Amino acid sequence: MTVAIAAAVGLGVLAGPITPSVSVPARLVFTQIPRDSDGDSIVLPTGSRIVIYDPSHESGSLTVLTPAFASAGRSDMSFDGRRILFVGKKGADDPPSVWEIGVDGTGLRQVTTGPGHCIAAVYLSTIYTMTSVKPEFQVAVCVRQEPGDAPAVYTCRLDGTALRRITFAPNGAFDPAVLSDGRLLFSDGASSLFTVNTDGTDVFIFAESETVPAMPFESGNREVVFVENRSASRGGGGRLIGVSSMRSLHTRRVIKDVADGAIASPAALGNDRLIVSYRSNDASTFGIYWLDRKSGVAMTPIFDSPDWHEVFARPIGPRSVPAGRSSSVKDDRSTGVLYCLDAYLTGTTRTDERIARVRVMGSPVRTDGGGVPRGDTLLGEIAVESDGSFAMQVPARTPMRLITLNTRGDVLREMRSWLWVMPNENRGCIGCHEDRELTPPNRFVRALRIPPRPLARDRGSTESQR
Amino acid sequence: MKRAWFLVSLQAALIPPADRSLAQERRIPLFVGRNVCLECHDASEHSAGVCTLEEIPEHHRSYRSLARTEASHIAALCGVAKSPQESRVCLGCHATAGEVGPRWTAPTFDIAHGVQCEACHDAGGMHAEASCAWPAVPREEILGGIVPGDRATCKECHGEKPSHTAVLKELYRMPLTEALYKTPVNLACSPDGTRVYVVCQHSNSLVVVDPAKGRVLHEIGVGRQPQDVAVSPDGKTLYVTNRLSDTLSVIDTASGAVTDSVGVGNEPHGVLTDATGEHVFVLNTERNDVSVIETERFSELKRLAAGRGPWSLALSEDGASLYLSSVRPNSIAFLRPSVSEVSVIDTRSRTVRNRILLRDANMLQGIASVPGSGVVLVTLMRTKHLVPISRLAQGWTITNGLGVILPDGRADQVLLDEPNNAFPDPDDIAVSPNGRVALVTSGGANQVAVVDIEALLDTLHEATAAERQEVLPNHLGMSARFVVKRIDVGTNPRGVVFSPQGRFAYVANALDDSISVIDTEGYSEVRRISLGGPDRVTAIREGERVFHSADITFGRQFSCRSCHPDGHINGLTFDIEADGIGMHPVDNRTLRGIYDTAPFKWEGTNPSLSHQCGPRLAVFFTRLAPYTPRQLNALVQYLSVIPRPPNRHRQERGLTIAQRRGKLIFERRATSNGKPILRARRCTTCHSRGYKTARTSASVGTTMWLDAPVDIDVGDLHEVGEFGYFGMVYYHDTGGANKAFDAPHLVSIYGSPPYLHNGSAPTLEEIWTRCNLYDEHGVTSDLTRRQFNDLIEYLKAL
Repeated sequence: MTVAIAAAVGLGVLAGPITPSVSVPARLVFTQIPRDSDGDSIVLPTGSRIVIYDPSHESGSLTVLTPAFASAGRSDMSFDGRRILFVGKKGADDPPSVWEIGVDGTGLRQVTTGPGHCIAAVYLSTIYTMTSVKPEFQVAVCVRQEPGDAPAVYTCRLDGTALRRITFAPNGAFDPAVLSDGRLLFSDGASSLFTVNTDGTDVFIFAESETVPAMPFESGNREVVFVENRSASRGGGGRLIGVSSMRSLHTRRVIKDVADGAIASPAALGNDRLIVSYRSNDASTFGIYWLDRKSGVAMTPIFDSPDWHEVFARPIGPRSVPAGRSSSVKDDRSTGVLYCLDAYLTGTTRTDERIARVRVMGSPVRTDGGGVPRGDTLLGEIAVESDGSFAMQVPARTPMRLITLNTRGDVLREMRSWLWVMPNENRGCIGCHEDRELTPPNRFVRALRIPPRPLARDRGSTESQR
Repeated sequence: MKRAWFLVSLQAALIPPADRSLAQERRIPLFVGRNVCLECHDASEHSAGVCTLEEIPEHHRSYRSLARTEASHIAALCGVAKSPQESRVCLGCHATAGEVGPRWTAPTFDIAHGVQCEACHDAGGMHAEASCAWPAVPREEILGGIVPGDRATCKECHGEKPSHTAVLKELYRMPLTEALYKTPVNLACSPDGTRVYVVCQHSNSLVVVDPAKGRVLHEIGVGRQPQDVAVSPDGKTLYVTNRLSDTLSVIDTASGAVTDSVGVGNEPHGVLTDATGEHVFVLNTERNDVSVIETERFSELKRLAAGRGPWSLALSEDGASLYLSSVRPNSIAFLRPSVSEVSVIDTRSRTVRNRILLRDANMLQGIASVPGSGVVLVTLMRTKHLVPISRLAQGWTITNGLGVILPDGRADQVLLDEPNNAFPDPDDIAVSPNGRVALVTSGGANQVAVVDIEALLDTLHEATAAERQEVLPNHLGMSARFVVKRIDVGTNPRGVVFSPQGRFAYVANALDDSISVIDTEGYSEVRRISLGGPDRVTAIREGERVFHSADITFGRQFSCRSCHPDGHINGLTFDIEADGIGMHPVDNRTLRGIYDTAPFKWEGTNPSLSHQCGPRLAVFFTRLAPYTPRQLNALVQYLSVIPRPPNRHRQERGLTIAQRRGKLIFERRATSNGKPILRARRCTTCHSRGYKTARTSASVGTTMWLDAPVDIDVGDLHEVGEFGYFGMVYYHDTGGANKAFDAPHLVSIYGSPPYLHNGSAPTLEEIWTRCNLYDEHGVTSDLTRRQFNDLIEYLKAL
């Protein structure tokens, strides 16, 4: 799995006036995509490359970090500001994989060779498990098993070992980004952003979007900035949205909307500014701009080449290390526990109609890292206690939907999204589609007075033991 | 022989008259000392038998060794706050009769002889008396008056003790710098606003600060571990509570002199005067009562019953009522929600007018009344101790907020947390003189929250009754309506107070020895005034900061202190994920003086504090990265020196007669009818010597079906009492195997309810009356009521 390549790379240095920079405090690293491509960075078009832009150089200068690659893109800056993680293909026919290189161009090495087509990678903080010797830094890699498959996020150590899949969303997980609290943020490719711990536990909705949310990034003051794509194409850009990490479902604001153009790949430039890619219309190319994060005004150009799209710009320099994670996940287990304190709770109120059972629908996934086959399968049912609680053992790493049933077996409510548990995870829910800012009531519920039971296929064995 | 007989005959005369008849009735022996023993048990040919143990010089020196410098360093690691030669824990192994005290020794006894014959054989008074009468008394009676010693007795003291190893072999020394820290915890303003009086817990002092000039004027020594300060309405007198001295210091503000020291109840904390200044009210936190003191002669008029752990006070605007917060929840049934009390005192009649209960709340600390509204605000936690600690997101484990007491006595609760950004350990609250703004300190986040009181009350008024009961107390989004700002201040902010005109507010930053000055125009910190503590941060101090910081927890939801206030307990049990959810509730255990009491955890699986606070803590509690090695080392150093307060159930002269009788029951080897008690069923087998723990695990029949589920019909177990008595009956009746649990130390055990591994015994008594149905946790079924009460009295004295 791991191929570590230490190679000195011959750097191509380009200099010359392209577009003058304006008060950029730091060097930038970004991806250049040839103008003739469609601007969708996800497919890693041939000829795309990672460059470093140094505004201190007279007239600015570009240094190509990946001259030996057929294509390279989607870079991330290490926390110490010395290394760059990127997705690249050395040969045009190679599968995209994850590489790391020093900002000075030295120390190129391949981080992963799989498990499929890598489309994005970001640095994560540390993870610790009961079997770890010490906390270790990780990277998150967004992977498609085959072109066209729904992508999933994997984590691994910096040397590519300990590869572990952490998302199981049937429709895929796109554009991973790390939050300062250590969680991973990703887009479902439809209308929502989700968070998940870096061990795959506690997947939770983070924000909702009017269109496909893309390219989230946590900026200053813990505001998450993302793009609401103007079209179905995830790389096409759109308007810039901000939500507070603290109240992400209730603080949505439009930071910048542009009538004919599009904004893409935001990142923080200090606490109060954002660095984005912007193009004024479909005919132009994306260039690098900055704007004031709070007001959204002053879209000021930093760099824009007429022959290239410039995307995924990141300031070069150290940044805060997100919080690490300690995990109780045990990879040798095959099940986890899902428990709910009160199935009657929806929003902030309790429904009246008697809930007798919960049906669990699953969508089996390939554990070898493959894509997710569509279609629900019945995993089983569990009885709901009189206080609305239930607790059950469920297969781990399996996307699930829950359906509440009345005593006649009629469907009362049906979950529209998916969740999963990791092996040995004890995932607690407060209610069914409860207000996401509600905390659990302090009750020792009936379902937890005996060990969680396995799901049953026949109704008789799911009746309450009470 | 004659001399021994003569001295022992004095036994009755030595016991206080009030106790004499009982002592004689029960025939409680005195300790007579080695010289009396040697009168018969010498090496002569007429000897009655010589101890098979060789003479050990160290035994004779053991008491005197407690006067060595090293002993004080060891004592610090043992949680011993007093001199080692006065500590029951130290004397338990370094002397004879140390535990019972001088009341139970004959004039022939000299504690300076160290470990004497009676250290192993127990008090020999009756044995000596019977021996003198021989052959008139049968040999059995003579032998019956003495405890046969064996090698097992030696092991009770001669086990490995980390504190002794650290000091004697690893040369650990308590840093001198440690004694120089101030640790400001509370403050008050003079009526004219020119002085801020800061109570400094560590330096046992009150620091007087000129806030305008930003400098310390002078420092006044008070009692041990001062906690709170109040200013008389005329500004001429200060009152400072001294928690470990059980006193109230009275200070003349003009001279800065301590003019009086008034004895109050156990562990006084909050203090406040009434509006006239004629009475001062002192909250005795350990005794759960309030001392009412008139200020003319400083005599205590009466004690009023408060909630559990009364903490702080607030005077209503009209001066008619005092509101008291309670830091610990009222005694709660097993696996039931916690309920905490705000007591209301009528200041004119000086009686308790109301007891307002806040359901699901604990750690009620800061309290303040809101001028112009009749509303009282109190800081609180809402600990989800009945919900498995399986995640932290969504306020899953602990939430932090305010109680809002309305003029009609109804109580609402709201949260100060916001999603993914908690407001951990809300310690104190102050309300601006105009009643518009409240400032709340967060000791765990090093912040002060600015609360718009009008917006807070609007939030309540706009909600339905059901929402006020179920939604507002549990909703993380509501704080956005009334928390307008959070201000970063110093390390571990505790007390907060407004200046009289409300222009400034002052915050006591406990762990960086400073006060923050907050300008209320922009609500920002404009100055930080150093109180003069040392710049150097010792490992212990660093560990104390780690202990009080919520930065170690996902979403900054809680710190170590959140569950271990003052290094002690919050009185709750928890469902930890490691052993399965919903099952295996475990009682929270004190951290005071535990360095020598390993192993830790109720299962006894953590051999050291480093293990206890190591990665496991991160995996199952905090969920973030484990402590760094440096943090862990510092934390362990701090935990190692958390002292325990003096035992207020123990008199200076030693055990009372009831306690002494209880000790005999504790140490008995046969039942009341003479039937031998199996070694495994004796108290002393698991609870031996100094700390009263053999540091082993034992099965004592307290396993419940929640601990080791068995296939039983639990259909009828949903009503009151289902989890205590019946839980164990059902478990036993199904033949389930008992689990072994760590034998806890019993030092100051009276202050750590609830009891047993799962907290199923709310009181000491219930350990046996409800949870020892089969005599597996010691044989107690034969005890009379008085014997049982004696046993409890003895346990309280440990």
